[in-house]
Amino acid sequence: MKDTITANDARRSGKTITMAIAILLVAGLLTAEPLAAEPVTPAAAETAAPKRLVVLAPNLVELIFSLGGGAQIIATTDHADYPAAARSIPRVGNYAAIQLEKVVALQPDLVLVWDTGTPAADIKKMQQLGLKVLHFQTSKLEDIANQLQQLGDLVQQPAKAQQLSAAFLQQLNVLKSQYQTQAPVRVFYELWDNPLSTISRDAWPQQHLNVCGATNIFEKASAAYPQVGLEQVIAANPALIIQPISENEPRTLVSWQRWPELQATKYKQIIQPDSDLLHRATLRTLDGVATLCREIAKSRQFYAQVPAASGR
Amino acid sequence: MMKLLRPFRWLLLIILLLLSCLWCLNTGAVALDWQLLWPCLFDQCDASAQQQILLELRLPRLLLGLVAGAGLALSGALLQNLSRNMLADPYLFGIISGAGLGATLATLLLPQYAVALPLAAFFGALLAMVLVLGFAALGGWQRLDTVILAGVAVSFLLSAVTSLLLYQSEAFAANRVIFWLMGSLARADYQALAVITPCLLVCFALGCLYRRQLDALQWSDQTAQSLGVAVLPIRLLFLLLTAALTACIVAYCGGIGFVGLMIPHLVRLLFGGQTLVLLCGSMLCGSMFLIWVDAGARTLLPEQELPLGVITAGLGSLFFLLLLSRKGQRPL
Repeated sequence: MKDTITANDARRSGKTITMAIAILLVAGLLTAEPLAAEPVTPAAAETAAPKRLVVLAPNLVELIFSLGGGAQIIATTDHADYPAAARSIPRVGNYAAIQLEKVVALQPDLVLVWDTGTPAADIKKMQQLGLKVLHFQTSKLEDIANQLQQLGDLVQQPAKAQQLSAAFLQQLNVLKSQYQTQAPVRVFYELWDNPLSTISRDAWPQQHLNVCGATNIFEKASAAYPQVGLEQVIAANPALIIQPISENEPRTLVSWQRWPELQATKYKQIIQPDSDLLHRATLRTLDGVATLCREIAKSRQFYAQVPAASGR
Repeated sequence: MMKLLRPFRWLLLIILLLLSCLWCLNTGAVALDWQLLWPCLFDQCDASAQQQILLELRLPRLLLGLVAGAGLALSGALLQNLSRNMLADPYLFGIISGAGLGATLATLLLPQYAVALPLAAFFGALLAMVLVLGFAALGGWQRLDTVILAGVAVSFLLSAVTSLLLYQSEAFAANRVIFWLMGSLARADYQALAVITPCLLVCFALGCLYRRQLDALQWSDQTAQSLGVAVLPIRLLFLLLTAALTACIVAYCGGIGFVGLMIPHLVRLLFGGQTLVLLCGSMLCGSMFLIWVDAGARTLLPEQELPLGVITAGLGSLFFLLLLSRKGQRPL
């Protein structure tokens, strides 16, 4: 009896964990959610001029390094792997649990958490233990610019933060004006191959597609990261298939060659952008988006030259 | 050797438990000095960070491990004796799936209230239990197997609802709930202790009070009845008690499997199967087992914590396979 339950639970959670990991690759994702407890405001933290930071999110670590404040980070979590210097920062846990003992022993001036990615129970416990906790939440590309400014105040690089965030917003606007209003390209975003998963309107990478002037065939799905059937993809017959891949975390891909009648397969319109750039909310994100937009634009051009192919 | 130690085995067990407590207090991600342990625990000590780690992180965790381990093992022992089924386990009512559903709802609907999660998990566990016992009541309590089968069915039903909710929700909610279900003592605080300890004591006291009736139940329902035991009321009372105790533990610690299944078996091997002996032994061994496992969870991986359920289920299933292979050689 018990064995049946356990085996099934294991199967179920195994499957869900695979999904969760797939979704974790989208490290920047983030639907709006109320902040837990009373957040320390950046203004209040700024006056304390903290020197020693525990930063519990890979994207925040990367942003702080961009500002030249990497030396102030005394501990971080798993997956904080960029830039290379970040790899040598001591680790105090992962997205499932933070080693509170170590955090307390380090006696940081400030703990930076990422509301959806850091375990809520651990955030609460750190507040109870009297640690100063500063919350960050990324739901839009523009949030990256705001966070840069907040972090700039923390690591006392406000001028640099101002400059970087202005440049970021400008780059974003250039991309938008260049691609957003172009003729839409119907795309399938293959987030994960087994179970076949994609993104919908609430997912982080959907913004990239919006910027690049692409239409997601599953934009209206109710889950943010829905599982879909191969049949549904074939029925929707996308013009372009996007298979984001990461050098750090290799994955298997759907071999679309098996479906030669698909428009994307027939015209070899399959691209593999760098998911490390697209799925993590940092300054590099726009580089990834720019590459993605260029690839999508190529596809757009291709179909413009093959008039027979553009109709379904 | 065993014969020589026999009179002292309880004393040995208690001393071992106390030593384990001290060892677990001194074990963790941060190395602490042995010399500082006593002054930091009972007095002022200079190292305020050490004192905070000891008093606010390790001590509540140790105490929660003690009561949760004792509670799970006690529930398992009671249920096994009650049902004469050696595979009975506090999770057989679908409690873990019910608690999972509650935790999911709390995570999705009330993420800003920390108290919502244990409360919702408790009511979820209670819901599962009420469903299971309801089905058993429909069947007229004829067979305890019905309860177990109903537990499996309810468990699947509630898991399905949980999966649906998680699938439709924000992606990180699934993460949080899954890791919650794997069990952890990291949420330990004195509120959790204040809830679980009274349940544990009531269960234990009633178990001791009715030890003769429980002993009689081990033969058969007819024998017990002929000895004047009110079989049905006693069975219902202890089903409810153990379910409530397990629901409280699951609400704060998540799913810690196999403790309730494994520890009573171990105690039967070491001390024998008489109710009073079994209950006391299960509580002591369960406590000790869980604090060891938690010490392992905190220290086995250098940079992160392991979920408790991973270790307990891993050890538990190995123990069971061992037991089965021994059973194959000579009938127990």
